[in-house]
Amino acid sequence: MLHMGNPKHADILLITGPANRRNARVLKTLYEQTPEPKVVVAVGTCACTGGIFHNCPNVLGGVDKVIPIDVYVPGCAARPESIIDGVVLALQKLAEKRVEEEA
Amino acid sequence: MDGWLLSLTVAVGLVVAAPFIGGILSGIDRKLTARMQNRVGPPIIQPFYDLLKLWGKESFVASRFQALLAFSFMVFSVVAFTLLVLAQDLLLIVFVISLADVCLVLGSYCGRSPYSYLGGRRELLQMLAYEPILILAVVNIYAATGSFMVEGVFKLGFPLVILLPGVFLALLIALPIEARKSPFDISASHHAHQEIVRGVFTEFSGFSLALIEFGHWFKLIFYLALLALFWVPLLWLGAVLAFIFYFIIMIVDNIFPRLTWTFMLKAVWLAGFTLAVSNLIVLALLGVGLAWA
Repeated sequence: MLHMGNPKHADILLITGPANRRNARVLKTLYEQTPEPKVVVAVGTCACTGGIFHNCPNVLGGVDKVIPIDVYVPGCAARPESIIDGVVLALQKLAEKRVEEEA
Repeated sequence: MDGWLLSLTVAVGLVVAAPFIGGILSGIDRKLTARMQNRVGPPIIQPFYDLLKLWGKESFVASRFQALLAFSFMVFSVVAFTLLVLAQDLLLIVFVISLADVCLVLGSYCGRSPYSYLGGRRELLQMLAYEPILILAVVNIYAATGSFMVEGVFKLGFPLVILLPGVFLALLIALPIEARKSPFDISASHHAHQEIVRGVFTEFSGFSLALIEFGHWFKLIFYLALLALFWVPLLWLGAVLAFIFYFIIMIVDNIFPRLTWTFMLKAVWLAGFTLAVSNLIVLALLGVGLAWA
């Protein structure tokens, strides 16, 4: 498992933190730059639902308000074990998507 | 006729085997790196899985020209190695291998990303550092054997490294650049993926990236074959030594930090130039080598 800094070389997009009005556009661009098949993992309560920031005026809420999410990893902060668990789940989803794409 | 057929079979076999050796070498590299960092690491054949995965992924290209350039990089790398195993003209081989690099740089300039531009410029600096060493090596080989053909090295009858120890060392100094290893991995920044977002490779993805990776394996094997050429009647010894040097470079890669491009130019030009040129001068002064005969 390699930690990629470039969305164009990535398979799994790991997102931490909530979506707000400033980063929504960037988030969308990064999502579009990741080549198919791809899987998006939201790490932490903030990324899942907005967490403690959910009623801030600039915060839109969870990342799923902007881009589709495949795996939610809850927790504040999410434990390393649960992040690994989420990524393994994402890998299974990635394999499923690849089979779907081939069919 | 039989000898000709045999050499053709060997050449075809080597060209077919090269990507497998290159892939396994980079697999061993990843495993070794992981073990040095106290990780388990991927299986040795992981690079082949990665290549197949990239093959199946969606490919974003800035333009069709960029896709063509990625393809040309792969083709020129394969052609350079093929020319080497067919014992062709060394000058031509060096020009073809630099053409492959030029394709990569042009490809990185196709996108608008600043990281891609930065990587392209750094790749040009890398070329500026090692291309002169390659040309000087070829000139030295001409001085020693009286021919630009690889065949001349085979006709010499004794290892070239006896006449050209300086050139061999200069090529060793330049090897980490070609292998994209620290301390000279300035254009692609393999260990720090985030730093310049893989530099020259930023704008390539999916199938194009797979082609470039494939070409890179060929280039690596090409360079190791060039090192082995210096030991020619004892080609097996040369091959073993080339692999040993590559393993040393893997270890150096993990121990040394990446340095600035100014250091790279200084180190490679000062040490490499001095070694290669002084080797040539010594050959001329002593009058050894078939070119003076």
